[in-house]
Amino acid sequence: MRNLLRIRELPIAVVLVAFFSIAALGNHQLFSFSGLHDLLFGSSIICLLVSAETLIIVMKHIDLSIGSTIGFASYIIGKNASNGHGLLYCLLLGIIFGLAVGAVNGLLVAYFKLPSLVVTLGTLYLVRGLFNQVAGGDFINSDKVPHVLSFMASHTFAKIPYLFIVAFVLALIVGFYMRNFRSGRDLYAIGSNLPAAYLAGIKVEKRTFWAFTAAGGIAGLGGALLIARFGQAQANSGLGIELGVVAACVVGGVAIAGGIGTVFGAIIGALLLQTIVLALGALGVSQFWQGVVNGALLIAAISLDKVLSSRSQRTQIMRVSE
Amino acid sequence: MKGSPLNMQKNKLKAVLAVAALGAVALVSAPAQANAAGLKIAIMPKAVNIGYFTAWNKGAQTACKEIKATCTYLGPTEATGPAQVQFINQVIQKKYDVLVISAADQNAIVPSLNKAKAAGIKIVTSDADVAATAASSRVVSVLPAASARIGTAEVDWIAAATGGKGKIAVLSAAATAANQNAWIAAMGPYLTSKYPNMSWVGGTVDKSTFYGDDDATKSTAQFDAILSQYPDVAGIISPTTVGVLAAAQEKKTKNASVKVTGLGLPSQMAPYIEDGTVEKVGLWNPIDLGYVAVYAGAAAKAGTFTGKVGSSFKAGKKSYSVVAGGIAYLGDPFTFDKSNIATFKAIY
Repeated sequence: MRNLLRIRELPIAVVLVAFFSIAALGNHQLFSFSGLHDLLFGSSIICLLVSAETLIIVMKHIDLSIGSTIGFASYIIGKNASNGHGLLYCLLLGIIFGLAVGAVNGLLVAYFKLPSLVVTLGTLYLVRGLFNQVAGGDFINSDKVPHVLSFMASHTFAKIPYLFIVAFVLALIVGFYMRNFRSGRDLYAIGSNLPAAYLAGIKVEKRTFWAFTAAGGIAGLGGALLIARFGQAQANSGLGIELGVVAACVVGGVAIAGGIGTVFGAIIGALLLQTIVLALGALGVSQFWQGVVNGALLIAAISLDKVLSSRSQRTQIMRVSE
Repeated sequence: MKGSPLNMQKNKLKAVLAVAALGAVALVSAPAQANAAGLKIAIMPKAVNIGYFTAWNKGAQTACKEIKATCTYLGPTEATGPAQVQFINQVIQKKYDVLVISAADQNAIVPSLNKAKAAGIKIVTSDADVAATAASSRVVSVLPAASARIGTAEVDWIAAATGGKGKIAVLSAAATAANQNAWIAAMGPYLTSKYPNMSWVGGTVDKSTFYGDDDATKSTAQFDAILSQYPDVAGIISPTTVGVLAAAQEKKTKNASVKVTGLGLPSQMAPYIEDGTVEKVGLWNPIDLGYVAVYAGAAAKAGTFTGKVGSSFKAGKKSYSVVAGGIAYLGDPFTFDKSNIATFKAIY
């Protein structure tokens, strides 16, 4: 029981279930399969990207460039598909592009020791600028989207949207890696105490570099989901999505101060934010109030985090003194 | 009594009138024809690299061929007033007779237009006009449709799709978008008065309007919000190209039964119209805008058209008259459905 209470994701999961149930009482549409489908389907892009962002935030870094990367990758995939290339080829191009952006971020942050906030803000603008230059007024239409992708967007497996399944499987892989692999645990060590990580002999630069590269790669893969989800790609695709991803991570218990949090927590965070959007909409709350509620929730989440973490620190100190 | 004096007088009168009318037409149209040949006309878009203006120029060039004028398509690569000014100066130096222009900035280009006007160049704005206070700088502005009609036409389309009954919602652009707000304001009372079996999902049009901010992600989310908040919604009007596209895509993905219409680009909406997701969308036709503007300019140069309110000019088979503000409207927005989408998706 005490172990269960110590799971960071539990409170947020409880909030999610409670919020969903209360909202569903007000609007029965929500609790139906279509309501659940909307929830999973609508949050699938964010759910995919939290896998990338969690890798970064636990290291006490941040990656703001994923919105530009996923957008440009979706265009690269769509453009090559409309030029008659096969899906696998297009997908590979998108992922390679993402890896390249991630590698630039990683290089500058890990080896040049530049602050990730500034570096990735820079690549956010840089990639978006290049994207605008390349795409111009070009528009990839839904009839140019590879058939497999549009099928995935409109179909489900066991009532679960395919897009969410992709995001979830990826989260399983990343989550398993972060929990069970030595190099995955290193990311937590880097984020919780950097000097100690160096002293413990962790290859901080290498880990940081590859984590950023992987995050970019995930965003590149996400391009396929983005174009599937919206049936279009143009110079504005994915604009501003990174902030929603960071919000989902923080609400889901991935501490912005580094060292704590899991991909699953972040996914629950993403689902909670999506539930709020759906529920407030379904209950007839004006859409402008939804932004207010999301913002308040974000601040509440980080406040709760502060309280919980200072308490667990105290228990740790107590345990040490015992 | 067939040949009564009264009837004979009437017939005589008719004959005289007919001859007079013919004469008048001949007098009016002869110089216009003579002068039009050899006219130098400049066709200036907001920016030359935008597909929409390629279509606009296509209409202008067709008109030029018909009146045997020489038309040059020239303009900046970025859609700003200052960039256009340089090209307007060029038009003045090269002594063009007519300038047909889509104003990239409703104020910044006005001094240059006034210079061009002073140099004897007849200016017609088309697609986008200068500010109302600067209306005297051009002869006339050729614009798509009166603001109110753009809104009410969309109500007619959704009524056709839903069979004239059911509850309707609006998926707009940003809450601050002036164009959309004006159209939506016209939709409200029109739906209530013209379609007694239709109503707004939220009671009034204001309470039934959702804002997707001209962003695909947000528009999709708001489409979903409409469906979950009002499961019985019969139709959604989206008076913005981004919104109607997002709505069509989401309707298709969810296999939703709600009807969707609005203002959409044919090239973007083609897949959804071809597969039946959406029956009909509309937009103005840039080809017609360019076509009619060239005729207006040529008529102004020939002196047969003054641009005063109530005056009129002919373009092809149709006649256009000037309404308040010195504007000639094309008429109803142009609509796209299965019958013509194949043609227009290749154009814009």
